[in-house]
Amino acid sequence: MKTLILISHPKFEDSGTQQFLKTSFYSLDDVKYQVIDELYADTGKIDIDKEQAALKAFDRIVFQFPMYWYSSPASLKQFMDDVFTRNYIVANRSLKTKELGIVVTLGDAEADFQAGGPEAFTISELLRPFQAFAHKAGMQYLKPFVVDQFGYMDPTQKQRMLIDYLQYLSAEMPLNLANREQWLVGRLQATKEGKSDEQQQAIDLVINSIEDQQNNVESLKEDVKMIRDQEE
Amino acid sequence: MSDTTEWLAKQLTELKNEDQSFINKSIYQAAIELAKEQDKRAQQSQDELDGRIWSPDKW
Repeated sequence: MKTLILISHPKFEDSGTQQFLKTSFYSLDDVKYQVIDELYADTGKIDIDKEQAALKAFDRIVFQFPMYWYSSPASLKQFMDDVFTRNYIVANRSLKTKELGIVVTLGDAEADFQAGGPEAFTISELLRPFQAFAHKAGMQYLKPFVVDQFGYMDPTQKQRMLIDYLQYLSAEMPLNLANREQWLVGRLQATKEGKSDEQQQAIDLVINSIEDQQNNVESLKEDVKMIRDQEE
Repeated sequence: MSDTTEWLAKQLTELKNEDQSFINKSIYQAAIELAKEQDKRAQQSQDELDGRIWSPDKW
């Protein structure tokens, strides 16, 4: 599966959060990225045909941006207005069946975004225009991935967020146990690179055990389902 | 925690400590957490199976 991250950020290189995310996704071969602001930097215009053609090569398209006044920075809107023509989206259904993900970074706590909270509205409500776009385009809209208050995260929280982010980019959806297991086994395989034979064998044993445990989980789940079905 | 999960946690912790890459460390840590989750799910299913098989309704 191929993923394109379209980043909208006026100061991408200066953002600690964005640089952390960039270092993270560099570890994945099938993930490419484009900083929209850089596309417009020279002439203020972009090659629409080229951008439209480029998007077709990907299965998952991810908009990544810091939340500015409850939406994306202007460059993403500009890109959408320019590239997502009516012909491209509605008449030709060019993005149909692709997935649309949103990675949004927040300076405030995500918990503030709820009814009765300081921000009053949920992230799902605020990002509704992107969901409407995905709906119109026939895309599958993924649950937005929120990175809140990156600066306050300790190393353990950053490790967890890194894995969740990489899975959001490249694991099969939905992110249930089976899909997360499959993804992690693939990443464990990749960590073997450059390691001693002994370490590689240790990783292989770990992978086998994780796969055995997963088979056990699936088999027990089947048994439970069978007995439930017999009872009802 | 099952013996396998304990063994997995030990192996993965060693791999994590030996690796300098933050990304690899994160992957090993995530694998430890996944193994624990698998263990929990298996135990929950096993408990449910036991409960349903030994239900007094069937006596």
